[in-house]
Amino acid sequence: MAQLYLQLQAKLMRDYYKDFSKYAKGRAPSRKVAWVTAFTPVEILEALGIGYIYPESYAAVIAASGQEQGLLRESGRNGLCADCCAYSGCFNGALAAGTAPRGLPPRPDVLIATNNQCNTLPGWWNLLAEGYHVPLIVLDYPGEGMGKERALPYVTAQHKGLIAEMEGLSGNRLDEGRLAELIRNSRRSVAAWDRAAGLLADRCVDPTALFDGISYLITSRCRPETAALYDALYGIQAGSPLADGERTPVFWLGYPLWYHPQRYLKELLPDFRICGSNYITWWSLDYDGEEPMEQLFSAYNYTFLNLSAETKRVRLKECIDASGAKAAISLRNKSCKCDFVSAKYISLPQVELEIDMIDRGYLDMDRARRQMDILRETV
Amino acid sequence: MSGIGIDAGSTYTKYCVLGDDAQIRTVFSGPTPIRQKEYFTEKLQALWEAYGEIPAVSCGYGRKNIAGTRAVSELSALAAGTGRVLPEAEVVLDIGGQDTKLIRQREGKLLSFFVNDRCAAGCGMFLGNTLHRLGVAFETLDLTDGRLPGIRLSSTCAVFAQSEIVERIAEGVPEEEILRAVLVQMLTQSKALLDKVDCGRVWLSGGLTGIPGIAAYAGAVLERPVAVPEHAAYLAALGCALMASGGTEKGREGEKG
Amino acid sequence: MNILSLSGSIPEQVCDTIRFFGHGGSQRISHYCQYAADYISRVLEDEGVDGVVFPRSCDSSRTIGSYLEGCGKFVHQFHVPARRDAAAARYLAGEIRRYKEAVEGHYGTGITDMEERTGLVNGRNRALGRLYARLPELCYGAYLDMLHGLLQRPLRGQRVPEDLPACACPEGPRVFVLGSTQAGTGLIRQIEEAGLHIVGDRLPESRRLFSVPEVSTKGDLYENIAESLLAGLPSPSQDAFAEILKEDRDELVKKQVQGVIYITQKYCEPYDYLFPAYERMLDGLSIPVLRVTETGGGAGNAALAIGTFADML
Repeated sequence: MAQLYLQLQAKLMRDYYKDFSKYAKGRAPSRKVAWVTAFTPVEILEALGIGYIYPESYAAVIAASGQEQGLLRESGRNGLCADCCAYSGCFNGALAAGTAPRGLPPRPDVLIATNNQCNTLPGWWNLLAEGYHVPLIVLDYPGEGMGKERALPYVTAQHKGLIAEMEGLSGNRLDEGRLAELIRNSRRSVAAWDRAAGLLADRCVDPTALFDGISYLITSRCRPETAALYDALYGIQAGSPLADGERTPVFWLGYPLWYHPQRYLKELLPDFRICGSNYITWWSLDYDGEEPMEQLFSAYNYTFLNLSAETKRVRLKECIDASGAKAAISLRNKSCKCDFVSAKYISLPQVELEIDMIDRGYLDMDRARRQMDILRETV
Repeated sequence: MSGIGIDAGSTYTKYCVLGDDAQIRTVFSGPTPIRQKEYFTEKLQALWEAYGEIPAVSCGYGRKNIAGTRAVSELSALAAGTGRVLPEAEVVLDIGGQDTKLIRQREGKLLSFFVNDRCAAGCGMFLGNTLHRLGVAFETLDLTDGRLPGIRLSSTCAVFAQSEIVERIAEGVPEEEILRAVLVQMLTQSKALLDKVDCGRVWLSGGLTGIPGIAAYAGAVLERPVAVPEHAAYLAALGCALMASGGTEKGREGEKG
Repeated sequence: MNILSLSGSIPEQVCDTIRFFGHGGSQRISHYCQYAADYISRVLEDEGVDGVVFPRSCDSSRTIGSYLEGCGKFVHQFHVPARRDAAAARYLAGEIRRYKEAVEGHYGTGITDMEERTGLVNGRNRALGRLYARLPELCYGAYLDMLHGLLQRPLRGQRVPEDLPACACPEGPRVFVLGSTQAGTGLIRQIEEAGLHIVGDRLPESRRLFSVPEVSTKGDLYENIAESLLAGLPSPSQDAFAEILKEDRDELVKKQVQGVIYITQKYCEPYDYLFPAYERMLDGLSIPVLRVTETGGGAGNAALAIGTFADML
């Protein structure tokens, strides 16, 4: 199982990074390239043979490689405010400096942004578009407030418009059967991931493996290998012993810390174990519906971060209850205006830590330690 | 032509007088009083009696309270003064009583500037308050050994840092350690400004430059070469005097105006 | 009905709203636009306000609703599309209808005067456009104060003056302002006191407000209003950097602008992301820019920065 997992992981990573400058070595990509945000309907792009790169994910890789500080400063020198999302500062800094751990990503032929995660991303993509002078498509997802009868035609019109534009870019025609197959792949990937990630609540599962492992659900969810990868992961983890009852189960509310070797503050939590995280549920998209357009609408219009405050609250509570957590660690990074009021409806002892997922300079370890001590006493 | 320059800062006012030969005749400073209008009227009168009724230009927070002078932006004055003393000094970091400024200048002309006026932990007042609390005189500070403190203030907010300082005093941490930690905190706050410019060497101006060894100490904290030019605390006052004497383009424009 | 509105994209053709222009409120929300936090404060603290309508166009406005839960007032989030194509216009038309129905449902009133209101909005915008065209000779501070006062009055009570005080510094360096002054006009006063001559803007309550084409009352009124709203000068939250840069470039050249003052709120990400691109455009025109960032405590020592910028110009 472990062998299979590593093989599939290597294949997916090889395919994903093959056009980055470190590996491409001057060779032009074999297909058109889109730079996309994390909740873009990539099934459409895959169906049309268009490659896609995730700048946010690459910013996480950069931070994991320890290179983000200089690149954040570079980005600041190029006019981007330090209050802005560190994903954007880190990635834009890499573009400005011309350096990154796996080289620079292939130049985009199109930029596609969505607002089903936050409103920062379309702004970031607009800025990228000014630098690259390539077409920019922003997909507007209204979320729950508007009612499905209004939102579905609007989103479907946008998806069809995206298909038409991407057919023009790629020179290919969309095969609806192929699109349906890719959506099935995505569904299978989500199901396999949910099964593997669900073990975190009760078993001695290393949360680092899940924080890192979800990257394939983000970047390769409609690839058939991804479901197989997560089945292998489940196979590896299912044999883990039951969780240590001596350590307090705690819910990690927020982003993984990409610059940290374990992606969370393991050194502050020797007597806690992470039993759940909302981040690892965000890409469990629900492709509900009878046909592809409806399925894409369900998946991408109703992403967790695009739901109403009420629905998010209910879902978060369900997630936390299912994890068996006795405490929660809530992370505030330096720019997200995520709806932290939802945390107030969780009747668990909580601590709020000011930590950024990319910028390690934002963390005050002494303060975090003191706050964890207070949580410890409260629990 | 001669001129008088007055930099009325929030805590100290700096004065510079240029002679007919455009050379500095005197530079001196004194605490900025609370009742400023009367004080500055008398001060300017005294300067005129000593040096003749020569043109005077003022800058800084208190400049509106100095009748009889032409008011200019202190950053323009800082650029002008730097250009005179050290034309090759491109980047100047000025840690004032209430704010921290970074300018880029070339030959006395201001090219760009950045101001951090939100964070008290980065300003002279933070050091001033700490010195007062510890009963230590500014003149006794000496950093020539270049030693960085063994403690670090974890609070980036001056208000919380004061509480932390009280705790450290209670723990018996020596005053000198605390003061060195305060200086580290102040200089660290400047890093955000320095990140906005591509610069090698940074030239320091303002009240901190009176501390022996500050250049090397600041260099260690800011992780880049830092130097202190001649008349570092008086650069803006010198710039004003230059403008008053017509020794700068701005000064000549002011004459036309 | 005293509905506090956060945005110029809320269609005034539906009903009266009070445009929000700053409030020294008690809400302090970490990493959150203070203008939006003050809006929340006003809603919670001002008993005279019985309703709110706000967009979903930036990260701060996206979550306003969660801070107003349980306030007992009319709370409506109006989705201004992030796109401006035909599908977005159709969608927005439906959104306008939904807004109207929500107001009617909450206040127990029927809205039957949208056509008349449309005519009033058209007329007001025409008058504002004429006044804006005369800006180089008028006092900009007086103009913006007039606008802020106007937009807080019911539509039928909005009288655009024929004239305003003359500019006090017509010989001063010509500057252009953009961003957001919706938290108050204090900065504008400081700019003029520094001897700078404001000759144009790209502010949501000024040029962007009356840039929308006139709305026809023939055919489907909702679609006409939607098309008009989407055809005006866009906000940086409307996927329009390229358009913004082109439009403003033309305006800057036409008005021979010598400097730009970019006013933002801290944690206002649409303007934060626009700034590097805008700065590059200005570099190309050799026009210097001063960025002033306001927080809850004001703009810090903006006078120093503005005075220095004036010196540089």
